[in-house]
Amino acid sequence: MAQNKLPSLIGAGIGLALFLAIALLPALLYGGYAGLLLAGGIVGTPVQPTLLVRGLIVFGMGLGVVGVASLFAVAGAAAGAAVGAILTIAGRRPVAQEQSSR
Amino acid sequence: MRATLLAFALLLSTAARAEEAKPAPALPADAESCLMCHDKGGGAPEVDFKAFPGSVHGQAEVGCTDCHAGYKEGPHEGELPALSAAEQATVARLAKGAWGEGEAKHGVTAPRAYLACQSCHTTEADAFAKSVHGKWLAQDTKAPGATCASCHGSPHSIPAKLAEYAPKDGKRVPVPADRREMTKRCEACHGNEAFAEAAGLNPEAVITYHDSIHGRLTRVGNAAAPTCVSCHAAAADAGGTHAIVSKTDPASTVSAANKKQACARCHAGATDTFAGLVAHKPLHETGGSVIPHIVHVAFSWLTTLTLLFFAFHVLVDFIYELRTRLAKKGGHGPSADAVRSVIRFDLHQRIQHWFMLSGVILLGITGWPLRGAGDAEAATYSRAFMKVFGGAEGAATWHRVGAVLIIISAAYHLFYLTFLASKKRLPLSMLPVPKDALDMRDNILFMMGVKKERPKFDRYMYLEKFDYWAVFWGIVMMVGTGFIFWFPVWFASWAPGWLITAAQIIHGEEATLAILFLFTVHFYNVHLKPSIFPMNWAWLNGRISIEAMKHEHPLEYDRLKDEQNG
Repeated sequence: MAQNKLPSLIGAGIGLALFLAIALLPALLYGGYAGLLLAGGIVGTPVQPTLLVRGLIVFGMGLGVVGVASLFAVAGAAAGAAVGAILTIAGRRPVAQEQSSR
Repeated sequence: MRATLLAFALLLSTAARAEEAKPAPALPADAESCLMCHDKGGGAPEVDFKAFPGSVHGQAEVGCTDCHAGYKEGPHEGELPALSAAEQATVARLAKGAWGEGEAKHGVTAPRAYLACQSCHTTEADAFAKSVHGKWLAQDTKAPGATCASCHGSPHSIPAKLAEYAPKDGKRVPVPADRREMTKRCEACHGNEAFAEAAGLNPEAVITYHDSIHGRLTRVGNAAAPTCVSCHAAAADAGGTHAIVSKTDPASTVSAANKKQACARCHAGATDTFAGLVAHKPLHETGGSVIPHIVHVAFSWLTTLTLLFFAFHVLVDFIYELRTRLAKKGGHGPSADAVRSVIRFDLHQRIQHWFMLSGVILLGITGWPLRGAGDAEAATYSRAFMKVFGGAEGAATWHRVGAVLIIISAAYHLFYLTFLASKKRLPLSMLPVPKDALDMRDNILFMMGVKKERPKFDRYMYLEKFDYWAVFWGIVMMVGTGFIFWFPVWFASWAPGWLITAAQIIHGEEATLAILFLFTVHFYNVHLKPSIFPMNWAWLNGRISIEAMKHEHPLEYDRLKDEQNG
């Protein structure tokens, strides 16, 4: 049951670095737009720049960033886990071969 | 060193000679005298003589006085031939006209020259004269309308003849790039709020177009997505783009009677209901009923309140986790209970989850870029990201693949439940019970430090039950409404318009809720929580450690232990 966390942690780190490099700005934009759309339903369209609307846009931006960053981190962790599993299997084979040759 | 310098010198001299060898762009034979005053710094209105030779008119060897008829050495007052009364009236109106090029606005400086357009472009000029855009040249209107330059740009620099574009019934003909580019010129007037109001036009026509599915598809680069002329231009043999008339005119392609035929250019079999779905109005105001509006408000509240509550839950949980971690003293390494594990999810459940997660992620990453394209800046990223899937059309195909994956998952799960029920092994542990509400309250109070004891959870705690039932709700909403977009014409052939509009609203709102909930709340609970990071491995191996079971599902642990002890 005990899992080697290291490959997943490295993968998650790479995922987060990738997020910062390519996806931070779009995540802010998409999240802010989602907040704007929600505000449109709540206060009616066309939306005016009131405190509530601004708050919803900032809330959307926050969720957008956390959501997309999570996706990158989780995808990175899963990829790391997969690489870790492959390396573990690859590391075992020579031992098995060695034993069978004895 | 000398050799290198020599080589450079030779290279540069060759390049310079090649530059010299290029023939200078030819200006019309009669242009020399015009240049004296109309070139930069000449004092008279400036003409872009550099662009002219490469323009379609320059290529056709049109001379200056072919359009500026009667102009001689200047000053021109008094040297021009007399005009008829009708021509004088047209020139007087043209003199009030203006046209835009990007941000720049230009007044019409040589109105008489526009009379010459019809000499070569007779068919187009005749169609234009009868169109809604040309009406202002013959009668008084609220505001000056379009000139040739409004759509084609300066006659001195029109780059080339526009590519042929004639939409055919039932075939999605790609809109040529130059026609797409021309849309900006439509927007220069129809998207200008002040002008639109002065001219009595719909000031939101451009905004609502970009918010619509057509506008979003255009922004993400779908080659066949319709632009203004796709719907509004008359048939090619009836004058095409030059013959656009008001929608109140029975001859208009978008008049009440003809609109479905305009839709049928891309959507074969379009009905009046289908045609009524595109109306240059906010989505919740189309469909001819108040229901879309109610759905819009209800789903906006549902999405906002759900996300606010669970964001609060995640925040409280995260702070609690950090506090616990900081307070924890160094242990003695992993206990035996951390190593021993039991099966929590069987292979069928894991396969269902794999289908579901791959489908949902695929739907999210191919769908949200399109939804987000309602924002012009975000659309740039959407367009770039969709290239990963082979462009907008490829992303649409992958989106449907995602839909099929979640349908397979849902069907598999229902068969699985039916099978378990037939064997009288259907677990009821996922059913919501009143204790869940109390558990939720007590758990939040515990994490906030108000209560001293954490409530004891059974096999599934309230968060897991919410995840499970939210998927049921989500599948019904997303798949149900998604099918309507997949086959919109068929649905519109029998369903009321408000149902299709409501479906469009639900699909978008539910996508926002689902994606933000799954990527923030669900991912936090099963992957990113400090005590779980990088992941709860149960989704891969189906197992839970005895230690985790004791901590997270103590009631289940006690029950299993009692069963084991007999």
